[in-house]
Amino acid sequence: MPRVLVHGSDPPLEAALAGRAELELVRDGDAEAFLSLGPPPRLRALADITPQEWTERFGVWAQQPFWAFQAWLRGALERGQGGRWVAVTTTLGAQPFPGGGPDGAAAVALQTLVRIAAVEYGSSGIRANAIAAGWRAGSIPDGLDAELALADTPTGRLVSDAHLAATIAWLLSDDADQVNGEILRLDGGYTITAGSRPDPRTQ
Amino acid sequence: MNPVYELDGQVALVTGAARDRSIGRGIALALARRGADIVVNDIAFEDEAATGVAAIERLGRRGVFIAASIADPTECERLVAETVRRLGALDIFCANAGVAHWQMLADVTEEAFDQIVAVNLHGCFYGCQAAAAQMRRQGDGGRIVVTSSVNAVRPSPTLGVYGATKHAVAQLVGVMAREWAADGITVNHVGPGWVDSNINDRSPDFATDELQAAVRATIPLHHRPVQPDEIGDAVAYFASPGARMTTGAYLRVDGGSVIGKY
Repeated sequence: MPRVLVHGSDPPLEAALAGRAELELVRDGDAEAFLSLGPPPRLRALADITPQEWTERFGVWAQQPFWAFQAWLRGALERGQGGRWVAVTTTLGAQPFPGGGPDGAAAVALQTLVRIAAVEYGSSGIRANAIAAGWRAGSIPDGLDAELALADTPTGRLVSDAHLAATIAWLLSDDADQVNGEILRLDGGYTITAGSRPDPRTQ
Repeated sequence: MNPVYELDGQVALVTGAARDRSIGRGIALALARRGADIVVNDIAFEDEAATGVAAIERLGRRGVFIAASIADPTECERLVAETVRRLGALDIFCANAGVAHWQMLADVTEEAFDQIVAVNLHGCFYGCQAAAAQMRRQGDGGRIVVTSSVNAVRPSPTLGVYGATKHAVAQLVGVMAREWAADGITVNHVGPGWVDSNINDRSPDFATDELQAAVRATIPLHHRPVQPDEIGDAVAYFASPGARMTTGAYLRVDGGSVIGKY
């Protein structure tokens, strides 16, 4: 059972992960894997956001996870037994989305750091992947028309905590041994649809 | 010149444009050649900026240097206000300033991380936000062109934090394009590959003739680095009337270096 060092807080997802027998979640100490959890996404228009809000969103989405990852990485390299990093990010970075600028930009910054980690440390047995999580039941951001989001999701369902936990467990498992540097969209196909009607905020 | 590409009567502000061998200099001169008046911005390097301003004036355009740190949002507002005070308007904003450090992720220092993020991402955004606010006040739209990088789409070892900021900027361009289209503001970005510019003088990838030859071999078109004025030509296209219906677009100028491999 791999020990998974968790950074960030997402109680419903952590509860779903705790129910999986193949993972042991820990908050400190040595661990074979590192799991960074992003905060709930927020929407904010770029013309209005303050510098304080802007840097705060970058901090929680990219800066703090990176430093936590680096600390884990140094330990993993010292142990010499490889490791795995899975970063849970947001689909706001998968396409330009009105209001999604601050969180989307910061999320893709972290995704690039994941891909760099995959390239730089693959030869040390470290795999790194990210999930771009779509709209989740219970965490629809203020300002998003939930009905519209659902209508534009081909599966007709929001992403559940169980879906997300299963994807994380797979990426951490040996079954995903050759998956490295991947940004896996988990959004029911929402990102690839054109959108059934314009968002009134952009008109 | 074909009127589709003329910039007569336009005022452009180019950040990170003081240095003699910079992409910013290439952009400033490319815009001036097409008829724009230019504000050259940088955090310092006033002597080199004077050379650039003189070159702009030799082209028959107005050129001024305004020192400001774009990493500071208050400075960005002052920079835009000063541009309008001295040249009368702001029609084209080129968010070009950038810094790079070459470090593996395990070795990234807090100082390097903070500087790269402050200039390449936060500074880019603060500058665009201040410029867009001015364009909105003018009420006639405007052009924003961001200098990103091929690192926005391809991870390069030792350039992790740099690439992260460039990917973030690329994403940001799309959202700015969506959100500010209602104001008639277009937002696009150019992605330089290996440019023969001052920022790359410290790059370990180009430190020896042998390394440079190896990189040249990977560039399909002419096996050479891009020159700063070639980035300028791409920026000038996005700034021109010919690109009036183009927004949220990405134009790589890299000799084809990231088209596949081998």
